[in-house]
Parts: sequence; structure tokens; C-alpha cells
Amino acid sequence: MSNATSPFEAVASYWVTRLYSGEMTAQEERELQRWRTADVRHEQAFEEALAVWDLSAQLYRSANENNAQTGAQEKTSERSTPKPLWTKLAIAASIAFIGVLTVVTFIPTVDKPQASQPRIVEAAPQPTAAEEPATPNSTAFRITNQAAQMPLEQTRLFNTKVGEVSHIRLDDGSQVSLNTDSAIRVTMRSDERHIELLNGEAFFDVAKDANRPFVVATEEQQITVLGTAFNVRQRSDEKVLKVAVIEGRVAVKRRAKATSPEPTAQANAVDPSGSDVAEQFLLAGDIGAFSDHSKVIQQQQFEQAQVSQTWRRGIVRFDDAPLKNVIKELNRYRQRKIALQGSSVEDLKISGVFHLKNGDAILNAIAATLPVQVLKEQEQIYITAR
Amino acid sequence: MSEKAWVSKARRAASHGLIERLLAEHTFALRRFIRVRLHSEQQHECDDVLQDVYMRLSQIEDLPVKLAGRLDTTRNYLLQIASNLIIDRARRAQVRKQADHVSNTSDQEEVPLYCEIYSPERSLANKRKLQRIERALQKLRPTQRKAFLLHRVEGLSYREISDQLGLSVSTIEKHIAAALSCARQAIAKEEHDE
Repeated sequence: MSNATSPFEAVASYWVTRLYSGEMTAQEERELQRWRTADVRHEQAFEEALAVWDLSAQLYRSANENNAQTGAQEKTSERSTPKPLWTKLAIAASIAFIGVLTVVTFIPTVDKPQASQPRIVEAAPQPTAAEEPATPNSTAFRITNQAAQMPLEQTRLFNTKVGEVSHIRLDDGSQVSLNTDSAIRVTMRSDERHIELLNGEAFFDVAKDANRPFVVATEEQQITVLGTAFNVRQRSDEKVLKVAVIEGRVAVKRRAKATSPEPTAQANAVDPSGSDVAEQFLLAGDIGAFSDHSKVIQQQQFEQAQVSQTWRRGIVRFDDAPLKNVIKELNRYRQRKIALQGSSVEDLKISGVFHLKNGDAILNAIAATLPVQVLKEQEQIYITAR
Repeated sequence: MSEKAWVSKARRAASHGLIERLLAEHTFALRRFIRVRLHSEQQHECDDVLQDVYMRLSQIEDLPVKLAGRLDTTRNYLLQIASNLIIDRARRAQVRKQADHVSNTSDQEEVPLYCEIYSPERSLANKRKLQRIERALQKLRPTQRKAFLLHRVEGLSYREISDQLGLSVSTIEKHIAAALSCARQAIAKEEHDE
């Protein structure tokens, strides 16, 4: 066969990696096809890289058989027993499961043909195994799971404390994730699934039910969907409602309000009578921001729409964000708040991925990357210029 | 109809709606992926694989629940399914081809690597190759190795890996490409040695 390595090795590897990112563009596809047809050696290199790529999916199996140390296994011995991805993420985040876990949260990561897949196992719900002692340490970030039985016409309140993320599975198959310090009221009617977002942020993965629209009402707006996944955020300290759509399509509409006739002569959209107001459609990838008097739709910001829901896994991301925004966001999850002292530190820029369970380690990371120092006091934590 | 049967029927109906929605939403990415993997612009070949993907998805019980856990990586999940189906096809085609050629045993022409890997009787050779790859990966930087294994073995998307390792998505892509190169070199070297 070919000697050692072909000079096209790196290019072929690059293309295979791009192909499996799922984000290859039309232009990239043309470029790749051009490259493949330009020279038979290109095509050969590509096919061979693909073959090694395909084969490597079986690495776990062989690693398991001869107990070799691979990178994936160096963490703990737990890795030797195949676990569903969700459990692994949960363990990785040292999350305490509280309540009854009735949802089978097994995720089929790879559907290999043939029997070459020891990793795919049904996840036995393990409420006790994963349950960590409910520590009195109230500052710890935690994720909880629960399933809600909802008799028709009954209203139930769900809320989370500061530092808690809760995944709730409703009767109809829909899944709601509540972010820190948030509250919703759920009413299941025969003709409508009605959710009221009282405060905070929630992610909805709505089970399709053509006869029962899923309606999320906030103070000002009403969001109607048939089946989709989206994120809604309305914080009492933010006057803006943010809706990020991950999949499908939702309609946002100003709520009819009898109390405030609003005599304003606004340019289009708002009908003062409140009875027949314009609907705003959001598609997958859209982020809509709605305030009393305006609405801004950012179209097809897919990355950001995705980022808007990483909190569900206990992760917050920042990209070149001012420190004051970062701290504000982190404080949402914290009992012991962080305060910035001095305007010079407020606008320092920082990028990063923060795992909320890391608690105060986040502060060390900030102190290590920015010219600031962290002072921990009983009540509060201060960040000042160094 | 028993309640259980009714529930499972309702589930299936909901599941079909979901599958149609999924395929509609990711159709461009899926078709692109299939075209590249098949190295074919033939519309009908692409349609065939898509049809297989549909069938495969409809066989998965409780698909909505399973997808709920990987909302941001639905597309990767679909690509992975398409990928497996294509590999399976290639393997079956290879078996057919070898059966056809059983009579004229004289042709000692080289079998390309990608055919070898897909042929079932080469599993022993594959095992050796896997060990080879494993050893090669040990020589990599830990983050490179980890990124590669998280994707290939654990099935995480680049974005999930980026979250987990705290690195940018483009860095993750570079790590994975580097690891693949390294694995490929290890295999090529073995062939050279023999």
C-alpha cells in the first residue's frame, strides 16, 4: 500500500472532522468535492481517513476487552461500566438527584449496526444511588428531576430556589426545565396546556398535541406552540422578555389587558384594544426580545439560541462579555452574592465556560485571568482591582 | 383496544410527527452529509438513505424522550444514524461483491483499506488496528485524545465537548482532526511494516 503517510493526510482528516460537525456549508461541500475529484490520491486519503474514523467508534469495546487505559477511562473506575450519557453528565457535574426520577433519561449516543454496542443499556432510574445527602450547604448548585401528575383543571405551582435547576416532566410528555429562582404555574385543561411564567427562566420541550395548544403566558406576552423546544426568560429585574427557539416555531402575542388601555399611537403591531393584536412568529434559531414598547427579533442566531439553554446542564458561557454581566448572571445562582467594586473592573472582558457546580472555583478562574482580587467575607464576596 | 395498546399507538403517531419534523428541519445538513459519504450526487441514492433513516428512527421507542436529552445535538444524532446506515450498506455491498468473486480466486489485487474495515471476516485484523490506534492515541496530548474519544466513543457533539472541556468549538475540531491524523498514521505505518 501507500508508504507511511500521504501528504494529504491532514487535509483528509480536516474534512472528515468538518463533515461530522454537522455544520458543513454548501460552499464547503463544493470545495470538498472539488478536492476529492482533483486527484485520486486525495480521494484515497479521504476514504482511508473515513475508514479509520468509522473504526474508531469501536474503541470503547476493545478498550473494555483488554482493559487498556484510554483517555476516556482515565477518570474513574466508574467508566468501566457503560452508563447512559445523562448519568455520565450528571456524575461529571456531581449533581444531586432529589425526588423521584421516573423519566428514563437514557440517550442512544451511537446506534451502531450489529451487536457492537455494549454501551447502550437501559437506564434504570437510580434515585438512591445518585442521591447525595441534601447538604445544608445551600450555596451548592444542584439539578433536580421530578415527574408531575397533573389532573385536568388542577393548577400546580413549581418553583426553584436560588442555585437550583429543576427538570419537570409533565403528564403529556412535555418537559420543562426551570432555571434558578424561577416559578411557573401549570394548568392542564382539555383544550389547552397553560403555563404561566411568574418569574425567571424556563426551557420548554413541548410534546406535540394538535388538539391542545401549549401556551406560555408571561405578564405581557403570550407564547403559543404546538410542539417545539424553546427557552423563555423574564426576570423581575429585567424589563425584557426573551424567547429563544431551538426547534420548531412559536407565536408570540401581546396579552389582552383590560387594565391598561395604552393610548399610545405606536407604529403598527399593538392594537390598543388588546383584542386582536399582531402575532410574531419565531422560527428555530430565532431569539426574540419583547419589552413593553418594542420588540427585537434576532434571526437565525443558532449558536446563541443554543447557548441560551446550556443552563439546563449547569453551564453558563460567556464570549468576550464585560465582567459586570458575568457577575450578574452568576449571582442568579448564588446565595452569597458577588459584588464588584470600582468601575474599572466592571468592564473587563472575559470569555469562558463556567460549570456552576464548581462554585467558588469560578472566582479563582476569574482572579487568575483578570487583574482583580477576590475578597471573601461572611455575607458577600468582593472583587476589586488588583 | 387495551389502554396500553392505545398508548403505544398514540406514542407512535406522535413519534412519526416528530420524525417528519426532525427530517424536515435537518434535511439540508442530512442530504449534504449523505452526498459526501456516498460520494454521489445521485438524488435517488440519497433518498434511499434518508428513507432508511426514517425507518430507523421509527423503530426507536420513546424517541421524544430520548431526543429531549440531546436537544442541542439532535442533528449530530441524525448524522450518526445516517453514518451507521451507510457503513452498514457498504459492508453488505462488500459481502455481495466477495461472494460474486469467489470463483476467480486468482485476482490478488490490493483491497483498499476501507473495504477491509467493512468486511466482517477482518474483525481480527480490526482488533489489531484498534489496539494500534489506541497506542497511537496515548502519545497525543490528553485534551486531544479526550476530545476525540468523547466524540467517537461517547457520541458527544463538538459543542458538548467544548462545554465539557472548556475549550472553543474550533479548538475541539482541531484536536479531533489531529487525533484522527495520528490514528491514520499509526494504521498506515502498520501496513508499511508488514
